[in-house]
Amino acid sequence: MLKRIVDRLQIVALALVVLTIGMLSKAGPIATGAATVDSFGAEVFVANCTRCHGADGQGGIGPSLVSGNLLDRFEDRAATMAFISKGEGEMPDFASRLSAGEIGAVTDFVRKELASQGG
Amino acid sequence: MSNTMTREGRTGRPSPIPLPLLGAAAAGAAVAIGAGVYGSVHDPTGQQTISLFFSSTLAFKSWVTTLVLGLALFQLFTALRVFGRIGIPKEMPEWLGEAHRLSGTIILISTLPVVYHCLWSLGFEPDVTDVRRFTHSVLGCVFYGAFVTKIVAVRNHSLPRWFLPTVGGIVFTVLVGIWMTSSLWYFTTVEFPGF
Repeated sequence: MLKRIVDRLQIVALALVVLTIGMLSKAGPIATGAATVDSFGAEVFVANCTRCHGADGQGGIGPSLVSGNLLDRFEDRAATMAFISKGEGEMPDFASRLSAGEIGAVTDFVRKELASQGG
Repeated sequence: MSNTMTREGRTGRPSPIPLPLLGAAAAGAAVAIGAGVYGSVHDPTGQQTISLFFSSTLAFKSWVTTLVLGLALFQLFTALRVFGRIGIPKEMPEWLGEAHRLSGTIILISTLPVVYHCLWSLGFEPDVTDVRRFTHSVLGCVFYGAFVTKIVAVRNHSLPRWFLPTVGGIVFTVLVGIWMTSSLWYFTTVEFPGF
């Protein structure tokens, strides 16, 4: 009885493996929202931030950047740049990965293009 | 003389490596490398996927991985009993072998939504200075490679007796590493229980 159940479950498992591989083979929607904005800041964002903050900055592992909370927490550009540079908790220290220009560009992109959407 | 006997066997000819052993190892290596390559070339979407009734995909993954670790402990226990390495229970229940298969199948099914999010949403972390993520990425690929090797090996009775327990041990050890670099990190760094 148990053997029959396990045999059938293994067939289900095999089907689910095939389904998962099929879903993985579909390209991810990386080129949406933020990624389609033609700016250097957006490029830096796509290359470094989407993994945690989502393709459109809507959040994922990291918090949403489009909710408007970012502008409340970091009142100006310098404060945002300092946070991105130094990191905190799970937020990596980007000063060791990006140039000051890149951090400035992505700061402008996040503040002007993403955070401002949240009102 | 004794050295020759040990290394080359009684006939003096080198002991051939069984072809099925190579096949099982090659299948596992192909899966591990395939997962790593996919995770590297695919643009991570950064999006949440399945979370069921949990607060986030990460919380879901942390608890599923913990469940899988529990099932893996059960697998270890049942395997040790089936191979006669432990004597508990004294009389082996008839269903123990099937229970071992069942838990292994549930492990495979349970990990699918987890690996889907890992590969599709996060990708492979190539930065070795990000020790946790890099280690987790490597172990994740090795886990599926070893898992496939074990599945192939378990159905082949011509393999050396040491092969299956060894691969099973690798699967278990790698899984512990995966849990430590994901669930344990989440529970100790982000939140616990984090439902």
